[in-house]
Amino acid sequence: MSSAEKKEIYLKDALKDAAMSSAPSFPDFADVYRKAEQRPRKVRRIAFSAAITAVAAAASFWIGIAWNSQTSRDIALIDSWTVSAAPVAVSVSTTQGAQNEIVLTAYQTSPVNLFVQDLWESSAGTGL
Amino acid sequence: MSAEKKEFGRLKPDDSAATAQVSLPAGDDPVDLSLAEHAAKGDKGAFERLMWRWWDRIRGYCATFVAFDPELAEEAAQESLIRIYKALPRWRKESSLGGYLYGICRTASLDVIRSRARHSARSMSVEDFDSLSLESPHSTGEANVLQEEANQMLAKAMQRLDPEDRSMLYLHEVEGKGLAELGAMYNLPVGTVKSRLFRVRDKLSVMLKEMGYELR
Repeated sequence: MSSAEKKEIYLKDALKDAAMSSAPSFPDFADVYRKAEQRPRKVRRIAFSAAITAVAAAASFWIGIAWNSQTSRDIALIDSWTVSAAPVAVSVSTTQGAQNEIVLTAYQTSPVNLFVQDLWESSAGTGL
Repeated sequence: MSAEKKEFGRLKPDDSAATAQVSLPAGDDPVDLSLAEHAAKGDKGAFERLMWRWWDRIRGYCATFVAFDPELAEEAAQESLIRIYKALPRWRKESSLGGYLYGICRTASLDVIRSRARHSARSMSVEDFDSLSLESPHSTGEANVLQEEANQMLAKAMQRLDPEDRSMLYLHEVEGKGLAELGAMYNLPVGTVKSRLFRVRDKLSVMLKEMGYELR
């Protein structure tokens, strides 16, 4: 064999040799059937989890909506604003007309006090 | 005409006339078709006989797709069998059985490569091939050693190719698949398959030349 012949690669034969020498010799049919039967169960389990998650997400969404609408009905309107010596008191009335008074234990110039005053002034005409 | 173009002249002449996106020819073995029909109805014996008839083609294709990595090749071949077993009932008889089986092997091998890349459990770098011993324990004579060395050089060069290109080249060179058949399998126009095969072969030839080998 000459040195030139030694350095030749016949693609078809070499590809086949390389593939066959690295490929597995026998198929494992028992493993095939076992895994094929396991997979639908796995898929069903994933689908069930996804369904549960979707139901939980939808439920929390609607509960949130209901909660928001519920609290909005009870929202208090500030219909008067009085400043007295500390502690500061805010008189409020609900939509049912019940009079309530919130006492702010804050100084007249404190941020909370100023915020409530601002809120009252901006909502005096239309409510909150 | 260049040497490469002469080489490429080995492509099936009838393929050049074929148009893009040709449907697969019905060239399936009647025995395979009969076994596939029975296997699709849940006959495990028929499935096993069919797979034994296809085993060399499946394992060779999978091994080439994963660049001759024995561990990946085993995983890809086994995964292919599982998918074929599950997919046979959905096989539409108007398409080629061969194309259908190779398509399943292709996606299974691709998933195995992706999964391995994700887990990064094992690197498939060229250095792995560099570290291989060139002497096989089963090689006795000089010819065997040289053959083994040549195969390893080819494996090293093939490693640098795209998996799809490797598998396409394998099907064309070893399994004798024509351009039209490959086009239908890979969902590519015949012209694209032809130019792709030419480029792959050319690239392989250049790489082997750098290693001191002539591709025939």
